[in-house]
Amino acid sequence: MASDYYLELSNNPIKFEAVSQVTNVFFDESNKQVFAVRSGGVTGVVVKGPTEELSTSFRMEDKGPVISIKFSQDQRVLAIQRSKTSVEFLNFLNGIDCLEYSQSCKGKNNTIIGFIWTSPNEIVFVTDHGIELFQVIPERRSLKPLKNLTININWFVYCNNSKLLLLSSGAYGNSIQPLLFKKGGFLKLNKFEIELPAVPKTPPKLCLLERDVTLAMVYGQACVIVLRHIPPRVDRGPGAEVLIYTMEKMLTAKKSHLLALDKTGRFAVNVVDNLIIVHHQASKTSMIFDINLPGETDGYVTFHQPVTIPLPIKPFTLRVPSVQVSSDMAEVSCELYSPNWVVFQPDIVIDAKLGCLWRVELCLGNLATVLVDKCRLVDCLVQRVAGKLVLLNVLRHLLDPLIGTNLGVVAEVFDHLNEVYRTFLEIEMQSQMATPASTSPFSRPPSGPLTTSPRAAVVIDQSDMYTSVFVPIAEKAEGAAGKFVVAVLIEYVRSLGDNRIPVQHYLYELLINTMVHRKAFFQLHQLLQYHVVSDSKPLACLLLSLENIYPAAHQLALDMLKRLGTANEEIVEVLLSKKQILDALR
Amino acid sequence: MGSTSDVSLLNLYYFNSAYGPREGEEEKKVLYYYPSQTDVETKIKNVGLTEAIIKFTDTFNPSKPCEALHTQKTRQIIHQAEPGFWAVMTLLVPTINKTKDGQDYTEYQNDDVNDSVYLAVLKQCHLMFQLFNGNLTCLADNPTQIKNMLDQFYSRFIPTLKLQHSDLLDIFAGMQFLPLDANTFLHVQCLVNKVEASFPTVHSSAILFNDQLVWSGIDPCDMQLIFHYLVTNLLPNFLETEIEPSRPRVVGRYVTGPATSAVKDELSCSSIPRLFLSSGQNVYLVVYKSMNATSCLLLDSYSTPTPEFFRRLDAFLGSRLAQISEELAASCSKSSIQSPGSSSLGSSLSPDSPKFIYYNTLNRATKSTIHLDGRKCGLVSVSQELIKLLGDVHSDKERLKACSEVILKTKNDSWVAGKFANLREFYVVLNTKNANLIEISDEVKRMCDLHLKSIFFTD
Repeated sequence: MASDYYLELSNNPIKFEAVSQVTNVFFDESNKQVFAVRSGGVTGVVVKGPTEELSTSFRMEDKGPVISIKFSQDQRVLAIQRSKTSVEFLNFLNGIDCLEYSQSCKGKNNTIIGFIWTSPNEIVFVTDHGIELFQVIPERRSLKPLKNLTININWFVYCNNSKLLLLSSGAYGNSIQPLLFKKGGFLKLNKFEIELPAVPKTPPKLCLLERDVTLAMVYGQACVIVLRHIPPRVDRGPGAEVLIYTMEKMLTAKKSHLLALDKTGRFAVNVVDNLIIVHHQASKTSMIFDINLPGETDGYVTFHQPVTIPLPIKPFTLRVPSVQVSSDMAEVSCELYSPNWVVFQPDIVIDAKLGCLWRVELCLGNLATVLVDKCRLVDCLVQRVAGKLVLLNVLRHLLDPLIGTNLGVVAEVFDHLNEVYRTFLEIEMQSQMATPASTSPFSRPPSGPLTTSPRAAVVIDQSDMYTSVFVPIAEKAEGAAGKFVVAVLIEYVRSLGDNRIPVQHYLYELLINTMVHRKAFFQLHQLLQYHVVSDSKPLACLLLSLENIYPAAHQLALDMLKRLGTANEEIVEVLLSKKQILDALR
Repeated sequence: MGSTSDVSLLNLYYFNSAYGPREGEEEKKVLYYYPSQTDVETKIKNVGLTEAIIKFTDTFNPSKPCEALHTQKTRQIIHQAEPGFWAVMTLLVPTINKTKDGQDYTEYQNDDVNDSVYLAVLKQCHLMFQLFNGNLTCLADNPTQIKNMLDQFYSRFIPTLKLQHSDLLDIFAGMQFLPLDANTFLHVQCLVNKVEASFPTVHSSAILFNDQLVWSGIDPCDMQLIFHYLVTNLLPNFLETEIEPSRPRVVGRYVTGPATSAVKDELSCSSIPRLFLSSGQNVYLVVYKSMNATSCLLLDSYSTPTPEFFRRLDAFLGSRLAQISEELAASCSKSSIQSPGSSSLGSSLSPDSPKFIYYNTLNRATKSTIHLDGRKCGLVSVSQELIKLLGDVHSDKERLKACSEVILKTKNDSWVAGKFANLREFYVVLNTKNANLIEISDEVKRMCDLHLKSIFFTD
């Protein structure tokens, strides 16, 4: 079956030299670069990034095993950590500059856990006793200390999109100090504690590990995604779960969502298109969660079930040169969920043994077939960047008269769509009023860090519905199916009305034509009588043309012309054509 | 002033000459006769007389058969219900007993009986019969069955005839539509669509709120009859049973169909009325009421609805219909506050304010501020005399052109105006003392503007 997956690995993985005795591989999450360091750099360092500009190769002296290696964001300075107390720098201004310069951490007994480039020329050292921020001045081959903070640190997590750094402290590791980096410094945000499933009594030991904490941007908000393993002694419990803390207004972390995994074992987390994806190694499946979908809530925390059933990633075959015939390419299928996989944020999977870096991608079309609850599906698709085409397909299928979806579902789907549509129109109107015309609402990033409710990625407006959904289904509808189409159209008009969105005349035209086609004249008459259909001259003319098949249309047309108030000439013309000269004269 | 009597029914009979062509077989012609205790001799004589009159008048105008026979004390209305089948209704003309010169005598108010009103009543009777029993023509070779059916129908129907309250509205036999904003209407419409989609045996349906029609998917000819059956007969009777305090309060109940939604036996399901539509289709009529909203469903008759069906329908409709009812009530109260017409409507209860009747031939919509309800209970806000006059204005309309206006002044200084245009009729009753024609004409114009501003009505 084609639809037994909804995730796939990117078609053209970044290939790099696999980990071996002479080769070490490093990955820099901020720049998405893979470093393959051969023999400490003497025989070459190959850097592969997502683009050509971010890919390079060079040689450097072997000064001991590399612990960590990262380019600055402008690719001008390379930082290499080889010891626990210092970091070396290499300038890449015009080709490689062989002169290294070094910076050791301030505290005498401090150990550097890692370092992060927080801006093109600023680097922060995270040590076990605090953090130290430096400005790198490549021209002078020196660093200038900017700011530091003393705090005991177990481990840290950094997200380059939000410039947010989480520092784990405390004996259990669950006391989190978030820092927000700005140019030239950082802001200390409110400290918070991550709930632990069970705290060991004695002796205190690290319970919250770095590998269980993920920091990512979801719907424009920085989220701390924490995997919570239920300890074995409380087994028969619900299995592992995921706790999500959102950084409200980039100030305070608040526990906001709980994802039920219902499984135990090793997990890894990715975030793709604002969906949280949890890979489970034991079952070789992945679950997707959408924290924007409604779920049960206790007022603070929303409980989420997976959007749909867990399914494996689409099998991936790699084309490798064949062993026997060198010109041929053999297809090798890759082991999915292999123990060699390392998962990085937001959507990266690396198989270090195979030397492959993939991005995890969504197959929305398949998701649409897997997800049975159509309302959830629509809610979910509306938030996906590439959701529009899929959503229109789904709607076309849903409203196919031959399938005869329950009208209650149709109504709900329309309401959800039009709520999004209305929000979109409101935002557009506000931005038109608030800002000069030069800044269109689209030039703004779709979700700034301060927006609280996520702005939908997909807006299905009336013209989309008309051209991509209603016209095709109306063409297919014959006989009894026409009734369904009329019901669907009326339902859509109702939903627009409930959301106070003015209805476009082409929808009315389609509705009237479908009703005429069904010869449901009395019903049409009632619609007009209750002014469901707004008046317009073209509509009045349409009615006049129907007079031969439905005599009352004449009266309705005249009423409409009268209401328009600007159509006296037309009224006279109509009356004259009926040879009602006296009436016309009046 | 002496005692008076209202118009009343003397007799009502059906006959078909083809059933007794030979002498001595005259009795066979009579298919139905009210009152039933009448002796055979009288029946035969009356039928014979009517036959003779039809035959005789036919020689003068073969295209249009005789419709009414006027005598001093009676009025006979003759209607060829179906080819060969004649329905005849004889009315006693209303009387006033007067004393003149110490002598008692009875004055017959012949002018108070309007032929077109009562012809409309008779036609309506037969249409109603057809709605429940189908065409007589189909049963032409089974006179016994015809007799039984007519007997069964009329024995129940005649007591509900309110001849003394018959008036212009009977001629129109229109339906009152509930004024509503578009969105609420769409909600109703969507509910109807959902019901019809969820219950495929539902052939078509209509929704009423109190005595007013909100939506109908039923053919207007049939709807008109069903509407009158519901409003004048079924719903008022149901209301009486509903008031009984012993009944448990439930969300919705079946008006026709099983008495309670928790039906077990098939028997109560088989007692649902069957209707014969003008299209020739045969359907079951299921009426379900929740609060003030009534859903009227026509079910395809090829399968008898099961108790299971009624349970499902009850579960589906109960709360939804109640919700719509609340919404309708809210919408009505809102519109009566907002619309400027409401002020005049509210004050129309006082006898001197202007009243009107509106009728649209095309969708059979009527609206009347003269009649206080649609149930023909005689609750009217102007004098009987004026109402009768309205009927006469309507009768005169035949001689006028499609677009015209009539204004009359009565002896006691009331004015009656009728306007006809664009297949609509608009009647106004004004009680303005010492007014002149120009003032009245202006007042009529003002009312047109107020009540009919959104439609095309030549003035």
